[in-house]
Amino acid sequence: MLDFVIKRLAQVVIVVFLALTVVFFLIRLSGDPVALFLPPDTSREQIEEYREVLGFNRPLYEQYGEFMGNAVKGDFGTSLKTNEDALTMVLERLPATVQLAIASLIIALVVAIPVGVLAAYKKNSVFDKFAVGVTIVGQAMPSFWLGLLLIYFFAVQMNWLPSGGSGSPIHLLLPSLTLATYSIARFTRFTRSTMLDVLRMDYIRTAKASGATTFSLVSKYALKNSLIPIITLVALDLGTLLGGAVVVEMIFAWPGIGRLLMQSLLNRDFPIVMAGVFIIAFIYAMINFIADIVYAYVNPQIRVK
Amino acid sequence: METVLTVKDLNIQFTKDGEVTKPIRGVTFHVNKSEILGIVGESGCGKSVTTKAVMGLLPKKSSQITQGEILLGEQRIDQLSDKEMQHIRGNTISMIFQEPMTSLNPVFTIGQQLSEPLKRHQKMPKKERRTTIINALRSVGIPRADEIIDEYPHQLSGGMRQRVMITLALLCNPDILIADEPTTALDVTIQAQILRLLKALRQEREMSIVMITHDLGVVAELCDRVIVMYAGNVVEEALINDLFDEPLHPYTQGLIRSLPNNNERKSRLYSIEGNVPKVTEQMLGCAFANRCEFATEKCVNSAPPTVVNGNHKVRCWLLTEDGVMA
Amino acid sequence: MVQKTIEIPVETSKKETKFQYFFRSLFKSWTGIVGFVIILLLIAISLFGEIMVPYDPLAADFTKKLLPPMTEGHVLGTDQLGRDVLSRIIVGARISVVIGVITVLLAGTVGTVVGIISGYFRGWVDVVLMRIVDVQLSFPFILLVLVINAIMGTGLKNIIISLAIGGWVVFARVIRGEVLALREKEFVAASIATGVTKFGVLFKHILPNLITPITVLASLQIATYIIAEASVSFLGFGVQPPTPAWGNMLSEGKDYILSSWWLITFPGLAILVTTLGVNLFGDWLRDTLDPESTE
Repeated sequence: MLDFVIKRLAQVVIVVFLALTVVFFLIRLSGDPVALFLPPDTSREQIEEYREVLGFNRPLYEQYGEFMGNAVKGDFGTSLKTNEDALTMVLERLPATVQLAIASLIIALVVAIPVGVLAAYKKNSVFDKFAVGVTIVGQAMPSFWLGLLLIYFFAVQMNWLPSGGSGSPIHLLLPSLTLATYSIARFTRFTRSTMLDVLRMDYIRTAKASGATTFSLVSKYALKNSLIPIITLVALDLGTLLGGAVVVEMIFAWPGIGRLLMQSLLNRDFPIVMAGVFIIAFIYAMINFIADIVYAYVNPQIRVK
Repeated sequence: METVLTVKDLNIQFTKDGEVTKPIRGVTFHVNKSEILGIVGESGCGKSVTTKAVMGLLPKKSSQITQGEILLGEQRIDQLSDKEMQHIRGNTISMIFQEPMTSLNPVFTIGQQLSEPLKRHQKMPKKERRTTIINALRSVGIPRADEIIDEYPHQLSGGMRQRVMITLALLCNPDILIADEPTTALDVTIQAQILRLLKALRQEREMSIVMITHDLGVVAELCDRVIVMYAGNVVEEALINDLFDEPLHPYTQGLIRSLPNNNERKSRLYSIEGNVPKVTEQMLGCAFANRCEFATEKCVNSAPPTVVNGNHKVRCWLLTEDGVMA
Repeated sequence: MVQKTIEIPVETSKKETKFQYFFRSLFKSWTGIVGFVIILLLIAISLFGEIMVPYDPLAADFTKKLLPPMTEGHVLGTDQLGRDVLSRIIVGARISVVIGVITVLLAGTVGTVVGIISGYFRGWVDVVLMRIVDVQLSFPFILLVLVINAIMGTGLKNIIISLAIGGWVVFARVIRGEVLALREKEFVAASIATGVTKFGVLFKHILPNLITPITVLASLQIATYIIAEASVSFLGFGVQPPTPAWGNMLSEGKDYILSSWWLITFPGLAILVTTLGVNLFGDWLRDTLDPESTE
């Protein structure tokens, strides 16, 4: 088990390292950031001076070496716009994104697992057909459009909820609901199909043959078996949730990493982009790592080995 | 002799995507107290469907008993609700299955899985359950039962898992144990052990066993009486010695001829030509007619009668007065 | 006495062309039909959109700005510049379809080739390629597309390239898995045993068996790309105004959310119907071509 943990942790490090490397070279090869954020009437000397200060005139490998050297120490440079420490700026935004992601995840799980189980249990019933229909639409729904519709309905028309910003649980409601929709649809469908698969298994037949009630079959036996694939899917989707958070944060003016990253991309504020990429890659890799551990824990076949 | 289970003129029909199939077409047999009845036939002949019907394990929506009845002792059980069947399953009738590798739930320990029927049918308190389970495991010859109770299925060998399955089936002392090809997935030595175990258990507990198999060797070793099924019908029913000494139905004769024999070296094993008719096909006459070397026009056109001679019953035209024995 | 041959009439199924089979199974599933019809409509609209539009989608008319639906002949109303929303949605369909199809061709080709090389030839190539795939998969797709697009610059060509760079890994991963599974199949072992060369096996046995998974995956990925493009364009990258892509129409429309609901409603509905159609068809395709697979 310890071997496994160490191996997976090494993988996390490699992933983060490679992600940074690729983005570093993509950015450096895509053009000169200095020209973009200085006013157009800046003199050539001033541009050169700026370039000197930021080190953009040195050879690429030297820049890369220095960048990585600093990155290891947690130093991604300062924002080209505000001169604040890039990593600090990103980390300040982290809690908002985490809050949004967790709220969405909870909503998704609380809705999806019971609905999926019930739909599988009552396969082909009206409820099942309705649930499947809703999930099909939910999976095809672009989240940013859903966000707009929710704003239009709840904020503009009804005036019940704020259209954007943060600070209270009420502010969290619309963004997390928007973000959760795709996951609700996906988890529900997956829970349903996994449950149906499990209910076809030989060991369910065994339980039935020894007199288990239908309710205990579903709630106790099948659910525990289904939980393993469900946990795996949820862990994989946490990353998608993080990605989706970027879009949702923009619509609802939610002050998370996604919004900061978007603004920095628009401004070509690369130190912040790099710090953002670092944090997201790290979190994503850690989520996968934790998912593997949890998976190993709930699955006795792996745990013992 | 006391009859514990009777199946009378059972007809079952499956409906899938609007297509109707009839895998069981008038099956009749009975099981006596503390006897081992073999049900023999190739795959698709309806042996598993029949036993599933007895257990009430057929899928509710896509299958239907169109005719006939199933009696447990005197009680009719084919029309019971699922709730009522739950009290019978695992309690009065138990079943063990072909695949010991997949028939146990991988995420629960042996003990957790075995305590379910005790909890449900006997309302046994937790402490008692553990000792009962350990004793039950020991009684089917499982070593280190007190350790195995806390292990997961994948830690056990196939033979051990099948013993656990048998323990599970026997926990509530059922009157009838249905064993659906319990040894097919096991290697030969383990197979012999399991068969010996079943025999001993029958002796100890005066329990009836219905042994479903396609292996006549298993039948010869274990059973008191045999029914032979073909394409949803019982074609022959006989005591074990009668069946092997004097098989009457051409299909049974074919089955026995195709057995490898230790005493004589045949150059080539006999095999029955042709294929089992599909269950969707409508048949007027005998289902075996297209593969039978003795078939006549009559066999194809009208259903054969059942000829009874004491304990020996055969469903074939050849044994009637106007039929011709080969 | 004994008749040796007895004819028993057995019904055999008639020969059916692939085409007939396709439609016979399509008509069994209403979701498949809905998806198929939506896709046909989309293709028709993207091919003949110019003839179908009631107005010039780019012509601004400030005297007619922000007209609600069903006024002055504008069925879905007009936008802040007085342009006809219906015409813009019709023209936008082609952009979505073009982006979806070309991206899937690019990403699908690259991913399939990589998947085959990895899965069939194994060895260090496999290790290196799959490490790259792992790294890329450890970054959210939409975010990757955004970052690449932001760095490469906006526009139709660049958004397609960004989506393809973001999307090929899914094909590589899935196809590699399929190839690995196929390699173990008996018919492959059998043909190797009869002396067929490595490339012979690849072309004779592996490739034909990859057509189904590639088709299914491609049809489902198109929907992902269309939504991703719309999201990226909505956020200000991707396809730029005044080109009428559904994503940037919504982006412009959101500034008028207080007064003009139709601007944020109809382009989004178009995206939803499109992805719904593609998904329904893709699901049906998977169920039909590959009945064993589950989600």
